[in-house]
Amino acid sequence: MKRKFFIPLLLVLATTMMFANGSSDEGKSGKRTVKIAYKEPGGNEAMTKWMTAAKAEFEATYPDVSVELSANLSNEADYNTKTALILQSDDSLDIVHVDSFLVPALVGPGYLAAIPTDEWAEYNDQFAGNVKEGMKIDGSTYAVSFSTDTRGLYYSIPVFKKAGIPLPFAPKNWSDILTTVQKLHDAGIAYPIWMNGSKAQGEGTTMQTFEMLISGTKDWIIDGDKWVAKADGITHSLKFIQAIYDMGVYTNNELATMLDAQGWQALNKKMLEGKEIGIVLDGNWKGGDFKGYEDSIAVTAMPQEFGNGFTSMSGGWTLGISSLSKNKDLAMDFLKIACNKKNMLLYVNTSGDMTTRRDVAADKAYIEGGQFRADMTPFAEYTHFRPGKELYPSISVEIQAAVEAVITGKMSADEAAESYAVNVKDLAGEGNWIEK
Amino acid sequence: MDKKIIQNINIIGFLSPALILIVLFYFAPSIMALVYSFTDKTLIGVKSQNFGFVGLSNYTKMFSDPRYIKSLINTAVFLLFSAVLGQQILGFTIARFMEKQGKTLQRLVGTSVLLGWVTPEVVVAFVFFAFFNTTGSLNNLLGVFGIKPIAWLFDYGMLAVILANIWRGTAFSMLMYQSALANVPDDSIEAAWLDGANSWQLLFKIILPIIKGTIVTNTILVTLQTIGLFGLIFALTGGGPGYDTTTVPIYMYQKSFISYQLGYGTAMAIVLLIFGILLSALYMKSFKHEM
Repeated sequence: MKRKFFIPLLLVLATTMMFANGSSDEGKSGKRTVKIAYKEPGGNEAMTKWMTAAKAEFEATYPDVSVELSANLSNEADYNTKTALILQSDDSLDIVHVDSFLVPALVGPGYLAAIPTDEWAEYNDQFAGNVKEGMKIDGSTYAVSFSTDTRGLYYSIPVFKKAGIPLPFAPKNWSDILTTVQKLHDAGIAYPIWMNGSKAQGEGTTMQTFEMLISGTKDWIIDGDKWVAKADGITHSLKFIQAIYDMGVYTNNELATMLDAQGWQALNKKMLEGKEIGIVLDGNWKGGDFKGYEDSIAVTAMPQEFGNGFTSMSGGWTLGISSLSKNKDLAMDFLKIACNKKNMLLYVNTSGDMTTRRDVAADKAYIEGGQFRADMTPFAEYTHFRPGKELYPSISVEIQAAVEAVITGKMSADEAAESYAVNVKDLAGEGNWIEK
Repeated sequence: MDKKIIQNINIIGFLSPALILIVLFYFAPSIMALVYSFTDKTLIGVKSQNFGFVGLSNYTKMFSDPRYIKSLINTAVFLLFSAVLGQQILGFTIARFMEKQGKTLQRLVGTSVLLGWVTPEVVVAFVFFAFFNTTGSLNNLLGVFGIKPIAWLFDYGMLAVILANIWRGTAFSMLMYQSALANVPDDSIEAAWLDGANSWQLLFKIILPIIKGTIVTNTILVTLQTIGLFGLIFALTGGGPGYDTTTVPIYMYQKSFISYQLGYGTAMAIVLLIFGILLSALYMKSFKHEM
């Protein structure tokens, strides 16, 4: 009779154990592990080169600890989603690579641990003040901002010459840009202006395209604590995009290429060839991809709508420590090593990003490290930052949907602005939005 | 101890691993999703932890959301043309064609159709991306005839995903109809021929009524397989351009994981689940009827 019970009991036990193994394997090797997850989308593999160098230095300092690098090749939207999910559940992860705009939304529910920067003299001495302030919530620092950026207009010198457009290109307002786009189009240039414009390009569409436009108007996406559901600046920005669509500058094949999540690969190739692309509205990191082409590619500031000066957007990437991490002290030490002067210099000179460290900025290798970065550093004077609000990522998706609808001709600028207003009101909730 | 009690304990014991799996991986997430669907839970932000109950508002909002309505229409179009009609008509036609062919041809056709069935969804998406892409093989082929490249995935996104799903799923219908046709009595067909029926009359008056049960079962099965299809569309078009190929599962994903509105996304999942359950019930009923 006992045997009759034994087999089912064994099965139940086996099943239970299957789900209960949890972290029983941990520590078997006797070596502790610091695990870091980061996004590696670019062609120059700057993150991997940086992380590999930091890993070697860290493991030499801590022979009994190994660093596990986990590169994620997915697009921005998918990476952000994965980051949000793993921070809620994966306690094997210690350090995460987070876009600065997501930090407030991850700190709110407690997914990121506070970083004890008081004990990190170098952070206090060398990291720029505004960068530090940006990552501080309720008096504590939750992420180390290791790069920042500005955005502007790259243009192809041979293409401009071919179209007979005088150089240097220095548009004073949106109208100057549209006139140039028309001339380039008339000269048979396939992509007179290349800009992100799809949901698939995620935050790139919001920040590089829409916010580069609206920040040059008298309006902005948020006013104090209230989201701006309707404003002239929103409609005008979408109308700028519609004007380009209405010119018929892109065939649907070209739109499909330009709006693809991996479109940057085609962009890099075409831009270096100096034939098909006139202007590129993008960030300074493109300088990393355009390195060596300083004679055929130049960059200029993005003008405001009516020529009242220029505009730019700045964001950046950060490293944070997961609040589920069991090795917060080690993770902190890894951060210190990864963000030291030598490793930061390696990263910024590979990626083309702007540094957040004063000593790196003053270093000869950094100054000579990229012509485009040097050209775009002054754009920081009139740059804008995204709202540090939890709801921003969701609002950003609505911006992307509006831009995509207009650039693909599915909606007029007015219709897209109307649809944006409805969705922003719904997301923000009563009392949290305004119309202008 | 009573023999019957021991027997019952044994039954429960043997079933328990399966029951645990079902509870853990089906009921628990379903119940969690049901609970979340009545909340304003988000994926990130304070409301990912401190969410509140919002009653039926996620459900009422859904049906006044033009994008959700569009995703419903897209799902219906996709379902109708790719599964209910496309896979079935093609599957039936191939099965009928293979009936009178030699073994070699049968194996050849059968294998190539089955290839679509055994290929993972995402791989099917890549195959079709390589085919429909602006510089893909279809445009290269058309170029030979002097036709300019067409942005298939951009201009005809829905057609592209429908064709991809037909290619992927036809084998299932073909197998179902092959076995159904094998069971059609030869004497019924012979009698119809003798009575002077033509091919169409034979098909519509004799064969289709006889295999009616299989048609119903197959319709429901391919519907269930297609209604929640995600990977194929997501990898091929991402739901775009715009919302042109956004079906309910894609919109659900966008809302839950891109826009982080988990409560709203799960409400859509629940509606889809209910629809699936209703169809399953219908399937069970028709299956029982056939028995």
